[in-house]
Amino acid sequence: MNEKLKSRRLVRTLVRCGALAAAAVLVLPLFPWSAAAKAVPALSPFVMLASTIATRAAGGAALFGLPVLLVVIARRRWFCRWACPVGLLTECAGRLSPVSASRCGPVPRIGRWLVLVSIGAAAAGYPLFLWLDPLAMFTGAVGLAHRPTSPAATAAAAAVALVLLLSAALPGVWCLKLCPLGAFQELVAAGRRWLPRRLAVGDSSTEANGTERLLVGPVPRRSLLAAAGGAACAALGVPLGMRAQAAGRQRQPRALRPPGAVPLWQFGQLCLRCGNCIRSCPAGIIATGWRSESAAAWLAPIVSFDSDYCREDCVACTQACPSGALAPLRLEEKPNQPIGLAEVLMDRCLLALGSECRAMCIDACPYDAITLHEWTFEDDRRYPIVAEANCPGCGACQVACTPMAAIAVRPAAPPLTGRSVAARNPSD
Amino acid sequence: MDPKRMTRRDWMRVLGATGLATGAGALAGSGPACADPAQRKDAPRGVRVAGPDHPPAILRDGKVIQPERQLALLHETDVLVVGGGPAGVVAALAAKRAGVRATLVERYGHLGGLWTGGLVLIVIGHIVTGKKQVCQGIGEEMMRRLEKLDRGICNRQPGRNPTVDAEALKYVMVEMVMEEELDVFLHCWGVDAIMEGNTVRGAVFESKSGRQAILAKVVVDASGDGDVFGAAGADHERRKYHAGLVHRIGNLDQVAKDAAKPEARLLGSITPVAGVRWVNMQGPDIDALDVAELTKLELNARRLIWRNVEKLRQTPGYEKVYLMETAPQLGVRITRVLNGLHWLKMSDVLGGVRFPDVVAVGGAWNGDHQEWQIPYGALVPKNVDNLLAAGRCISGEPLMSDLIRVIPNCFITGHAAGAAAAVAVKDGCLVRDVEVPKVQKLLLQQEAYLG
Repeated sequence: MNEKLKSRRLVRTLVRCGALAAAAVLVLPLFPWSAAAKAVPALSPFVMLASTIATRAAGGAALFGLPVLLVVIARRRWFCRWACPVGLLTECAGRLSPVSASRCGPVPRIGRWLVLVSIGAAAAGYPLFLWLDPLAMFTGAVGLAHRPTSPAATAAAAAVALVLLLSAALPGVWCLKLCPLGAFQELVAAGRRWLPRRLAVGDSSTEANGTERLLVGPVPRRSLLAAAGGAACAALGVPLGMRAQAAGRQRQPRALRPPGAVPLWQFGQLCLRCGNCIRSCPAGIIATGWRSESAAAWLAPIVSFDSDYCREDCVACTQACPSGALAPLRLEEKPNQPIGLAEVLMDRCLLALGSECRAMCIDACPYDAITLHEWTFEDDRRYPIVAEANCPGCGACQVACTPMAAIAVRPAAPPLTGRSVAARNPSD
Repeated sequence: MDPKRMTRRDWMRVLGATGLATGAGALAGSGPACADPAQRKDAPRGVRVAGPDHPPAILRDGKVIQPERQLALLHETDVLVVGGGPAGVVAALAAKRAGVRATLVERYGHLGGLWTGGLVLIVIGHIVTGKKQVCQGIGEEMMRRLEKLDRGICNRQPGRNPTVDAEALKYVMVEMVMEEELDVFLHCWGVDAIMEGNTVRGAVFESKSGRQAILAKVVVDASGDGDVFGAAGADHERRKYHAGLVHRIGNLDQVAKDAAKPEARLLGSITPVAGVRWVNMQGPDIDALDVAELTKLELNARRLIWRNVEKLRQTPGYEKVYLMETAPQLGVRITRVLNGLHWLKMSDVLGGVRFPDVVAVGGAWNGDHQEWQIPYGALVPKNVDNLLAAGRCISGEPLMSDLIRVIPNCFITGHAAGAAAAVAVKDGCLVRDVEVPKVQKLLLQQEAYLG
């Protein structure tokens, strides 16, 4: 029996090491699969469920998260035990620590409340704490190996380092008490208790942790209370989301966000800060947003047209986004998802000032959205006019107008509805 | 019957029968090139008079007929440069300095073309990223000479687009052509090519002396409008482009300190002369080879300029500002463009394509991109021999027009054409067969930049 247990442990350790390596390879990404980078954070059923609820749209990312969700319903904490790369690292950190694993016992199960509030807020379109998902953190941290590095990757690496330090100080505290993905798995597995009991018996206790206490033994009253508490907690999230939505509508975005970005108030929370969009952009125009309109959008990606523009033949970032913060776009949909709107600065435009100018903005525009005001003897001015309906704010004109910088893409005004993603994909 | 064709055949006959004799006589009479055409004994001078040699046009059956006639030979030379703008003056100087006879013919009474007479005073397009100046050679020599003059040029710091004074530049060009003892004919409008088969043998000019011919071994078409290659039947494109009339305003140093802020475009840009600014006009899109359109533009532009200056004068504090001058030459930007052996493309500019037969290196408008190369083929017509294009009419796609037409790119292509013409004359070969390395060597000797 002991031998059998040992060999099973060995197998699991090998599988977990393999999963860690595979996750790193996917994120970097070391082989040519466009969805590779997205795959790792999208595997999180917590991210999948919260973002699906928030965006009212099951994006391509659901294909990764849904099977994991089904498995973790059947097998409690299956993902933690077999696949989670952060789990393997925290366990190693814990083993190196002289502190006993039982020390984290009195720590409250914060992760569970985070998940419940997050799901509730997601119902109002505002999924809180998605960025605490270990797969999101891991993806961001592995991105540190990508050149050039982004502050988002540094921040994610710092978060992973913090998690490891925490795990060394109090072994198991992250995985058991704090991790929203772990807590999410427990919550969905707990749903089994509402099923006939025999289905739940198979999971005998082999782990020396404190979690099975809640799961083992059908105590209908406790379950009911827990469910009621959970529902109340989730309900708490709804007004939070509603408030954020109302506040966000008033706020004029200052920064440009990548194409297909959900409205700003939602974007800051849906975005995992995994850095996938930054790494996927062939033009290198997506960066970490240091200065943001609100604390909620801090470190979320921004777009700048200092050196290049958003290519008309590319939707890579939207395809790389695991959470739907950037709606997955097809190329033909991209022109309808404006990043912003180009604006001619008449006090800088050489043409408007009457000087000679090659009007490179007009030739540069891939969407033929810029025309010249016709010069006549009655109105002797010639200057570029941007057709709002045709301008997706790709920034090609802004790049072309160096060093005069007389045409610039400005963020579009906040949309009237918070559910614009659903409206954008009528098929969903 | 096309009257033009008829005339051409007429000249061919003239050349065949008597032209060479006259040319030989002219050479014998005057000896080497002379800077003062008025001193030339051979030049048939005086007003044109009706007579057996100059039959007037006649009206026959409601059609105006130009009777066949022999043209007087004004001059014979090695390199004939038609057009005295930045391209033409530099081309003629380059050829003369290379040791061949060169003749410069200009339609107006001054040199410099649009750079001076068009009041296109700003030098745009000679710098690239890193503030490096790529357009060098004789054009740069002109700017250096301007530097030595008070109020000759301003904004000469690296990376900036300098602005010249038109009068100072006219003077500098006169000094340079007279130093080189270049043959110059002013008030002479090149109106036709002289052909022998597919080979250009000279050009026909209209002036107060009537219609006269100049024979040459190589002709450089620096007319801007491609008048010579157009007449010679070289393959070309004719483009519509915006054209305008530039003006200068004065007394801006007398504007009150607390004056209101007028519309920026009415104020234009600075010149090297204190209190004087030049004001650009974008203008309407026209076919600037259509005299009706040119006339309409010139008339309306004068009204508009007066109106705009009045508008400026009505700004509190600007009452003393006045219209100092409208440009003697209409600001025509693009008309005919040669379809030459090489077609300049914007994709080559952006891609940094390098050519083995590079004869000039162009810059960027505001130093915002890399240098780009102009190969010799962009100056050479496909189907006509012994003719070179220089200036804004060289061979290139419409997107290239704005890069080709600016002053520095005119003087560098002029420099290349003049050097190539000199090499062709020295080697006694067709311009299309010129050994480009020799041209490149000559250009480098004359301090041009070839990358």
